[in-house]
Amino acid sequence: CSLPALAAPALAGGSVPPLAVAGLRVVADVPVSGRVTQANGEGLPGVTIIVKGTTIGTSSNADGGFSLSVPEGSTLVFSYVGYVRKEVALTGATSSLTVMLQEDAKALSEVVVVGYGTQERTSVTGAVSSVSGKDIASQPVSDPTQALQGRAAGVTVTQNSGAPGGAGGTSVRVRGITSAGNNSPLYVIDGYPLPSSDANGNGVENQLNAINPSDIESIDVLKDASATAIYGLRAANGVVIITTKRGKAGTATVNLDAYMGIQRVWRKLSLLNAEEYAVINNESRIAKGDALLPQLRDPKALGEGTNWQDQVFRQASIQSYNLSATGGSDKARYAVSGGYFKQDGTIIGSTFERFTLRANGDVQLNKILKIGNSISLTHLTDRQVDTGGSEFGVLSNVLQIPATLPVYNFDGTWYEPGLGDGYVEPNPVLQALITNSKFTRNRALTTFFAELEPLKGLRFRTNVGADLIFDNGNAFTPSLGPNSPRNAPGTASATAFNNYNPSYLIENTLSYDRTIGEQHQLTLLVGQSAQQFTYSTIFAGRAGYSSNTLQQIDNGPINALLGNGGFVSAPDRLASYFGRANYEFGGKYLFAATARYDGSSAFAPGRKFGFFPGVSAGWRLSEESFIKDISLISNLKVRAGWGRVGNPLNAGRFAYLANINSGITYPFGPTSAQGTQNIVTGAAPTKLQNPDLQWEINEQTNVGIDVGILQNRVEATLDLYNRRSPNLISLVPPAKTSGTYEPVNTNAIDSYNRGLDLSVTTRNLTGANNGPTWTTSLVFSTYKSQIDKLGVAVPFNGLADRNGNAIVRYDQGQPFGSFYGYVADGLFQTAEDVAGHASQPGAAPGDIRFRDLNGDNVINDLDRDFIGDPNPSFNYGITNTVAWRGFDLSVFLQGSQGNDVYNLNRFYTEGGLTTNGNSSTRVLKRWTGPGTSNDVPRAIAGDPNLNLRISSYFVEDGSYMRIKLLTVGYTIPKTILSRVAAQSLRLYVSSQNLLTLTEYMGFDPEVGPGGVDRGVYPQSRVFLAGLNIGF
Amino acid sequence: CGKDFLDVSPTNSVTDENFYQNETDAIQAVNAAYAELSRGGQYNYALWGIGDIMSDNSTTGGGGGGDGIEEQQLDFFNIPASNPMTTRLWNGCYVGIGRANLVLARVPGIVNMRADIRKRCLGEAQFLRAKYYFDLVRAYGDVPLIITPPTKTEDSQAPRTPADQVYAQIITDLKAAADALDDAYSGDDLGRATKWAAKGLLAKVYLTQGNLPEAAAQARAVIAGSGKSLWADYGDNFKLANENGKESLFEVQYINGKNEYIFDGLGFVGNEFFGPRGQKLTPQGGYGFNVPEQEFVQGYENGDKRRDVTIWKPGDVYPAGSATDAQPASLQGSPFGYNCKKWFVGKTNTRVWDSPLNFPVLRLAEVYLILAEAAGPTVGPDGGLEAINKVRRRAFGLPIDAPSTRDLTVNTPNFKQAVIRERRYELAFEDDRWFDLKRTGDLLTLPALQAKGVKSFNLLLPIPQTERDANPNLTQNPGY
Repeated sequence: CSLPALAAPALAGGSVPPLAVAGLRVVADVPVSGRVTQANGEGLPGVTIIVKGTTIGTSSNADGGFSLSVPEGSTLVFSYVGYVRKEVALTGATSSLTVMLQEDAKALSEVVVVGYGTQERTSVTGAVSSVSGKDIASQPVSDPTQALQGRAAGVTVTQNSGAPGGAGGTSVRVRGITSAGNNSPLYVIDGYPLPSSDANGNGVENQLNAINPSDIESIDVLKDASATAIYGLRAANGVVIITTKRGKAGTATVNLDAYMGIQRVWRKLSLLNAEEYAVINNESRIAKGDALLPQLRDPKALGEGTNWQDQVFRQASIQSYNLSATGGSDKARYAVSGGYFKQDGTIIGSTFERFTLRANGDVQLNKILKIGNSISLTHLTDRQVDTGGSEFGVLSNVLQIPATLPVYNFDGTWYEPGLGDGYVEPNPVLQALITNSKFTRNRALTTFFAELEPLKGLRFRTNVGADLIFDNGNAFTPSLGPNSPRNAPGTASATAFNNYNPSYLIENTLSYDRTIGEQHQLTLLVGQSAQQFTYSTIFAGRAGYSSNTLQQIDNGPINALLGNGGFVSAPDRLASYFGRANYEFGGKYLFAATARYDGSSAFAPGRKFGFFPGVSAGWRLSEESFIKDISLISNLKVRAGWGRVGNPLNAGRFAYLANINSGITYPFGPTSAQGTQNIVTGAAPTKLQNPDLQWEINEQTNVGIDVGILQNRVEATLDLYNRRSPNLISLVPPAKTSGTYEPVNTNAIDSYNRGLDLSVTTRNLTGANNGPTWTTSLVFSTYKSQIDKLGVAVPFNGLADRNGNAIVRYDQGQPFGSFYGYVADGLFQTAEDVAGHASQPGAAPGDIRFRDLNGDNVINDLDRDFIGDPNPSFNYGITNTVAWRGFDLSVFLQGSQGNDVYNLNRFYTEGGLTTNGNSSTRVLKRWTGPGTSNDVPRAIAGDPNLNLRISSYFVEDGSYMRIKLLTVGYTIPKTILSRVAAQSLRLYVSSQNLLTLTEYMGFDPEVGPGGVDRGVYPQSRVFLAGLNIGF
Repeated sequence: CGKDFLDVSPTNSVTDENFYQNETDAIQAVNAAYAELSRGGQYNYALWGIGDIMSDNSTTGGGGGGDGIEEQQLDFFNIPASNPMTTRLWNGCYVGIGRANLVLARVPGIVNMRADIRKRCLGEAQFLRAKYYFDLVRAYGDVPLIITPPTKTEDSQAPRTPADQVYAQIITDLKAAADALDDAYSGDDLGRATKWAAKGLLAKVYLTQGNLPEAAAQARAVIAGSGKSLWADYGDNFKLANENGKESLFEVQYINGKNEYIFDGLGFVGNEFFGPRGQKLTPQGGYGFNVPEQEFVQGYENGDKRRDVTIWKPGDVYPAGSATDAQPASLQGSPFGYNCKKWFVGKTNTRVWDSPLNFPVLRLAEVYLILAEAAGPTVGPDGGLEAINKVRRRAFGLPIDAPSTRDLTVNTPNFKQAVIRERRYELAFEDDRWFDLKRTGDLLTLPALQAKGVKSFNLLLPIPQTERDANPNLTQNPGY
């Protein structure tokens, strides 16, 4: 694979103009100082100030102040993004120059990163949401994508768990879901698309917790296909473009941002105490006719017992320190930063620590050649506790373990529940702490670019990069005393793994910007990209360590090798060619066309390449004379676009091939008794090949309108979209006559997703006359997605409970991820009720009545139906920001409405009714006789009616509204600051998840994207105090 | 970038594109075809439900209630198309057939292998394909006859082929296998199908078809040529030390210590599943499924030594370490205190569902009984009487080759029924009884089965619903 050589320096050599040198100077320098302000008089920091026609320049400091020496009679040029450039001619030395910059008349000349380039907001014809670095840095989040929650219309963000460091992953869904498989967007950091799948090509939730949120300048989310088509094959789920901070010419600024705080889970559940537990346990045993547990015979003697939640949850600290420096000259600019973040989990035993370093640089080598880099290095370590996603985790066990049991024995050793307790799951405190485990990730994400501009507007750019991810994990589970049921001597075990997942990128683009005459503005881009991902892993495990002190793999008995393995995967490669044309006529009519021809090595020969086009157009009505005169309307634009993009994450790698399964064993040889039988290897394909397998396609139409009224005091953007996915992948079970049994990845399902995104910002008070400023912004989104046709696929099950009973089912006419089960219809009150109902095996008064949906008078599998939809009716975020006289207050509300949650945790928190461990206090309202309850069933051991089966009884409304963030800050006045070296100092206190309004009964309504609560690590309520100092 | 930039092949997996290159590949491909024999689709699950529990030999047992619901469905002839045992028989057979088809399609093209090994591989594949199709055609009637490996989904969506054509293919395959395979294999290859396994199975196929002369001819050839002979003691057939022993023509190979709690592992689950329930004779205490019917137990002739090999009855002494000293008068799921003992090995190891004891597919004793049934009550050393009497003498502990008081004679009334009865006790719990009842028509007329609700259409099993979902060309058998 060869690349065009970068011929820049030689080409550039001749045309460099002579630099100003001392000897040529003909006039004297004079000092100039002053201040740059906004319209309201506030200082404007970061303004670039250049002596016209020279490279002499500086930039304004945090308060807007500046000073420099200039040749007498110069003209200063003041420029700043979003403001009208201003030229000021100087007559001589001055020390009190005040320059007020007006916000750009367009006011929207905000720059949007659109993939392989930027565009002014006014020219954008697709659907793009942007979140500023300021909004991201204001939140104490470990993973920057968490800060998108409620800030970008149409972007649904769910923390999969409250585990420290965001290690549970953050699900970002752009415009809902259109696939039964992975719906993760593509993440692009400083032009580098991050890997989004594992070694098998299966999509994984990206973990951006290796990225320091403080380093981020902006996040732009490309939502519709006309915008994302530039990323072609990988763009179906939207593209999240993260741009890190870069240096600006001018005075160096050094900032220190620090915060420290405490976290607690915002909610604990109300569980039974020892006495209550014993009462219910006895009652359920009596109902069944079982003998009582002797130790529970006298509930009153048991008292409160152990509060297991208090044992497992704790107040935990969070702290973050970032030191950054930016600055440079016109020729060379830099932004460097170092960060340290540490978060302890609110569950004992969990902790996260991260160190980050970043160095971004830009150098103008000569008039036509510029080079630059982004380098970020991350080292993070964490210790996780098994919580979310597993029903066998600490949280499930906290809910189940009876309050009658102690944490420790009298001799101080761990108490481990056993058969005599009528409960055998692990002690959750022990479970959280026993394993000595550590995960380490080192990640180096670097890009380098060179940009050549031989003619004005014609740029050739080469971008190369690498993302090197080194993961390492070690765990040792010691043995306990000789009576330990689960950790007897000799059971100690160790595991270790090393993963190395590097990827590489090389891109070349050629772009041309030209304004022809006054009216025609043309931008053209063509480019090529090649990216390669590889994965390698090696792991080992041993068991039967005789001692707990030596915990290395090597210290274990070699004959007890539990497992070992590893592989280096074949590279996963993408080869892409793309182009974009933008044409603007008279600033009114906007056209854009994008196409990417994308190829992936994961697919069959002849099926590797796809073509992904996108077209869009816009009309800036506010530039038309008939509207321009309406003073009320400051901006009005309508947009429409269409595109086709792909999602390869559910197709897998090489999934078109029929792999030979070499794990089919069979013994031959004389006799088992003599030990002379040998196991031989058998090999055969266990899956059919599917050479027609393709990525999932997503075709999307988008129409939008942008409105600004009253000098943009009110701005709104509304987008409507219709996405269709005609060939979603389903695992289709083969006929066994094929000789195989593994389901085949097949493009089978047709689905759609329609929705609406709205964002509104109002500047209620603008700070006129030194009054307060008050800004409100709202984002709102709603969608409806559904499987239209299953094609050759059969309805299939998703997530199941621990017994393998499916909770989620995908079927024609149903939204993705719908819950499927029996329909609970109150409780049987009397024997006549039971007799009068369809035959329901095991039922008695006090049991749940399930509906006989098919009317055959028998309650069985055929009486299951769709009982819940995890997709919200809508979700929203509202931010109010008020600032006055140095004080600032920001309140961010965020919520989701109309989504169902399958509260699988109640399988446990009501399991006490069946003698299966402890319960929530909800069971105190159980049925104890006719008329006592029509909701909570009776207590009976063994659950003969299967009250705990998958049914609508466990489906709850997951709607919530949360004060996600509340911040109060105070910026110390300059007059006081002048006594210290600092240029600016802001102090603030902040709370995350201060208040949550929900009727959901579990720990937290944010249970991850599937909407099934399996004991997810709850979010924390955080209180913190911080400061921002600028030097 | 070069054109080959995207031409990447997997490095950590083998595909059907780069397999089938040498002798090792060929042997592994054949081994895979054997493997299904020992899994849940055949002897480790499906066949004991169909062969024994669905017959008059045994009933479900187990813990009662919903325990073993799929066995109960067979037991009482209330068989949904989703029954796991009938579904798994279909699945296991076709997976085995698919692997045999791959051997037959790909191994001839392998350049780099010895001729004799190639011949053996192809013969084994034909033997195994015939064995699996024989089970299919007996259980389901017309079934799709697929003899070349499908490459795409559509290729496998074949309609049902008339049973006659399936039988014709079975006979073709077995004849070819008999020609290709050696008289015996030894050492590390002990347990592979032999010429005599193929001919013995061919005899059984002919018998099933009612082609008595051919059945007799093949049976005589096996008796004369295989070098096999009956153990003096019936019980010797079911001992670990005697695996692949002198009476064995073909058996499923099991080995312990590799896995537990799965039907698709390398060990046999029957030790645990059939062990007297909760009596701690087996690693997990015994589940007590597949319980002998009282009528079956009472039908043993006095002195038949096969009884105490085949079943547990009240008072039978347990090995040390059991819950009690002896089999109780009744157990959960077994009101008369009977249990299946034939596959009992005890606590051979600490793993559950994991017995190493092989399972016979064909023993010489059965070949004698095939001869007896095919030849009728004929006299002489090659005759039907001598054939059945050898089996009977051994059953009573008598010298096998000397006439005895237990012998049947030309005067024995209803000789065929006598042979079928002898098969019932000789082959009890060898997963064969339902096939005999179906073959003879007794399935529909036995009062015991009528009481359990047998219906005329139960001569065939339902085509699995999952298979009909995946293959729209597949019709269901009547009645289901």
